[in-house]
Amino acid sequence: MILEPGTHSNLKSRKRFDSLFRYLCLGAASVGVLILVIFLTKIVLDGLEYFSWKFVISDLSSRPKQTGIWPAIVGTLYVMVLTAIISVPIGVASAIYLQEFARRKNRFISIIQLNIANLSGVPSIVYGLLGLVLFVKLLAFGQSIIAGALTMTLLILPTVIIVTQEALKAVPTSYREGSMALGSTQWQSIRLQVLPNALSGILTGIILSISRAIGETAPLIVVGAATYVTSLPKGLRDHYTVLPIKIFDYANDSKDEFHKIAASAILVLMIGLLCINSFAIYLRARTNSKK
Amino acid sequence: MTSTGTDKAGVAGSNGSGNFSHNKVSVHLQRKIREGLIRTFCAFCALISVVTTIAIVYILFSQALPFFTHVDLKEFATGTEWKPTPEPGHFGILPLVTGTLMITVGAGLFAVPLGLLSAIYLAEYAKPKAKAILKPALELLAGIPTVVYGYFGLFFVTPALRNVFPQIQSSNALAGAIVVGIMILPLVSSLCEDAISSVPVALKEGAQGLGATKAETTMKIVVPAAFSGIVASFILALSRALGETMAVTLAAGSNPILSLDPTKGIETMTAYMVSTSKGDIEVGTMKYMSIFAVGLVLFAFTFGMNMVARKLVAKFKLNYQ
Amino acid sequence: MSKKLTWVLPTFIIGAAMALIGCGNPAPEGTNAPTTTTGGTARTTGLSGEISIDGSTTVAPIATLLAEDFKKETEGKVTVTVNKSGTGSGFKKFMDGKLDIATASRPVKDDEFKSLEAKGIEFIEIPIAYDGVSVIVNPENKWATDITPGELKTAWSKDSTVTTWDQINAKFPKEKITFYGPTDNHGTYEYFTEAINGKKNEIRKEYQPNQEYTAIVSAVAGDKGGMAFVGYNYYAENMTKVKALTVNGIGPDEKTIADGTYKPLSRPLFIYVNKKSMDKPQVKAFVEFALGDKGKAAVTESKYVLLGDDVMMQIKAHVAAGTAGTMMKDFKPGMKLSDVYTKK
Repeated sequence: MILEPGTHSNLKSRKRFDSLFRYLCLGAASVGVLILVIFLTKIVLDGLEYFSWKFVISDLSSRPKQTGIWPAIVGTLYVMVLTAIISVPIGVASAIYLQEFARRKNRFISIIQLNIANLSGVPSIVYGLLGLVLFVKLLAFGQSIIAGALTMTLLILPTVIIVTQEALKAVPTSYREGSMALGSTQWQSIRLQVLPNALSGILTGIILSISRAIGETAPLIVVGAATYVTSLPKGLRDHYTVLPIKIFDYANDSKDEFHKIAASAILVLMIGLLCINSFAIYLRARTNSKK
Repeated sequence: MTSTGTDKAGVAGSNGSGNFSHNKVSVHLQRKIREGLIRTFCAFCALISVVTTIAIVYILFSQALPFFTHVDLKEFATGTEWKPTPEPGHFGILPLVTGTLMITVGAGLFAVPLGLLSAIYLAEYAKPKAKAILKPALELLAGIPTVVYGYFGLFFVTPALRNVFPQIQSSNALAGAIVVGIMILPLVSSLCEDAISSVPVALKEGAQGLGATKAETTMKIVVPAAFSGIVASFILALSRALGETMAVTLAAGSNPILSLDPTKGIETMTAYMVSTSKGDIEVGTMKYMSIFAVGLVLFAFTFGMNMVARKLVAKFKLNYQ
Repeated sequence: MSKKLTWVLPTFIIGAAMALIGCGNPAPEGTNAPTTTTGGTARTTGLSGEISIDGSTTVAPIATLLAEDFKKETEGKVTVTVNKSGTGSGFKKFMDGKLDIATASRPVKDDEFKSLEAKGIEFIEIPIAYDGVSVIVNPENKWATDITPGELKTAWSKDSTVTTWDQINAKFPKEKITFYGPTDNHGTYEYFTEAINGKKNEIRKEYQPNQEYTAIVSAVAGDKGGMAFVGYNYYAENMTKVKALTVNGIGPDEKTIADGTYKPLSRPLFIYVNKKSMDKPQVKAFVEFALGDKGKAAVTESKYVLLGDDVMMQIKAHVAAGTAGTMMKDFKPGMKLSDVYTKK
């Protein structure tokens, strides 16, 4: 095709097409930036009106001017911390097994790997259904914060495993081999050599998984997170609400003022995500510079 | 019985004299037991993921099966009315499936060309400075929670569309498709970029050595070479769009009608599942079972798409590794 | 590395800036509250515990305000949970003994009453406000301003085949009509069908049911040919988005609902209190709170209509005596509360 006769004669048009194509691709790539700027501007413009420190720390109210979202912030934090506490040990342990202990890479292991990859593609609402039947009804946890946290754990577990595996893979084999040549057991070599070196990657990955989970609303709605609570959750069995659900609730409301309040709640959520992600990036940069 | 290799690390318990003592044996044993326990614990954790899959499949089937004793399978699959109330209700899933497809296909029409072209730009043309702006911007877009996209669809996209289509409803399929398209754009872009970057440089240089322009190289050599990887990324992104819930519930509506009119509100399978769960769901009612029946269909769709995508990626890796 | 750090700095700066902007507008708590709460009264200090309320979505705006203000009154010691699953769903939970108070936008039904009797649950029935179920249409709908109950029946009855506006009234143009309304667990649904179609729960086959009234309002606001029926609060709060049709020339507003001239869609709203729960001091205090001035303020703030003073006095006496059971057995849509309560 390139060597077709006549390719030299239409060189001009080919060159024109070349630059056109280049600009087309640039335009496509810039669309993302453009949309991002429009988004952020819109949210900030809408949300500034009701955004204030008082808004952040006040209780929920059905009166627009008095409402705050503190219970939602607390609920989100509780659910996320609980989720992290449960999912991190399980996820890291699974990844260690798949990556370190299971050296033989037999059929069994590859089935587990395939299974994990599939699980990460399951829509989040299906996890909600799982949580509803298993945690809310079967184990009778009811519409409580522990049911929500367990459901979210199952949701992010595949991601945590995959991310930890990647971090473990990145540690050179020489570390393990050297350590075992000096007589350490496999677990000792993992604990003393591999894990410390993979730690930053694991932490970054976990933080990013959690930050993605913070925005997940659908599973929590199915397992019964409330849209209106009158008190902060104190125990694992308590009712709770989370930021994304309040955003959804306010956006659905017919009063226009609540739409603006939804935007303010979005601002709070985005600032929280920004802080978490910046921390993850900072961690990654710091440990990279150490190497 | 004399300790040899196992005590080389010189851990506490050896008395250095070389003959085995009660200490050494028990340390050796302790270590082996600990190793075994840790290994078992980790294996157990790995099995949790298997159990999760089994649980999902089991729950979907077991909770949805009673549904099909009340509703004829043919009516479910081909019926055009989805009205759970008033009792006894019609349960033809086509309105929900068309709603889902309208969003997914619409999102694909938006994200696939744009994503591929931006991936080409990032992989082939972009200088480091440009990359430093474009890539983080796409990452930020990907990090925005889906509820926020729903808000954006309701309060920016639809009013903007109203200038073009004055009769557009406050929730409509077009806004949903646009918003989900924006959501999956970063995914398409980054996956395609990976696929394109894996094409061996030799192929590109060969083509350019023969006189092809960059555009020609990209379109005629690189893209076909990365084809299965690119198609896999499309399928993965579309599968993500299919499972999307909050953005479509807000932007596209909760109105299960069978219509191809993008200015009307529709309801996707996911939106139905979440809207119905919001109210009070008593176990054993038709409404409750219908959530799982729809969930089963949704799971089947996404599972199938993900399997196809994975096979394509495997094929792609085979070609270049 | 430095590239990564250049990301961290701007994000922290932006975050700090937002926090500072935010801190710039603090306002003392409660300056905008129509009811000023300055700590509890002698009766409400010392209370603690929980109150669970569920039921009507129509009554929910009143109940939520009451719950909020009562919580402030008791300095946060009493937590009142308000849910709005719908009148029917609320009664089901009430029958299982799970609720202290069930809110309802229609009187308790015979079969519900019998089930409660069978389970040994006694209740105190308390009307708290008047509502006028409003028939709303899109503001662009210029042709329809008035409608008769007969026309409503033609449109909404079980055998209705109406698809265009001219089939309701020949003077209307041939515009497509879309029907929206609440799902069947709502008291408003049951009340409207009884008042217009003559029989409870019989409604036209083709209509868009929705659990949330806010969604119904949004749907009609975005659909030129749409028609729906909602509680008065959901119309009054959204008058810029939807307009209400007059029924037989009378439109819904505070006066016509209060004196009953807005027929047949004026109706009382109720709370049903579990008699055993009245032994709990916080529940008793809450009921008194709801029947007092603060309760009246909540009703008005929710844009519902207050009951007349004479009826109120009788209700208060009723509650003080602890009389259980319903007075609404023979109540029909279009009747007034004073018909029932002065029948002594």
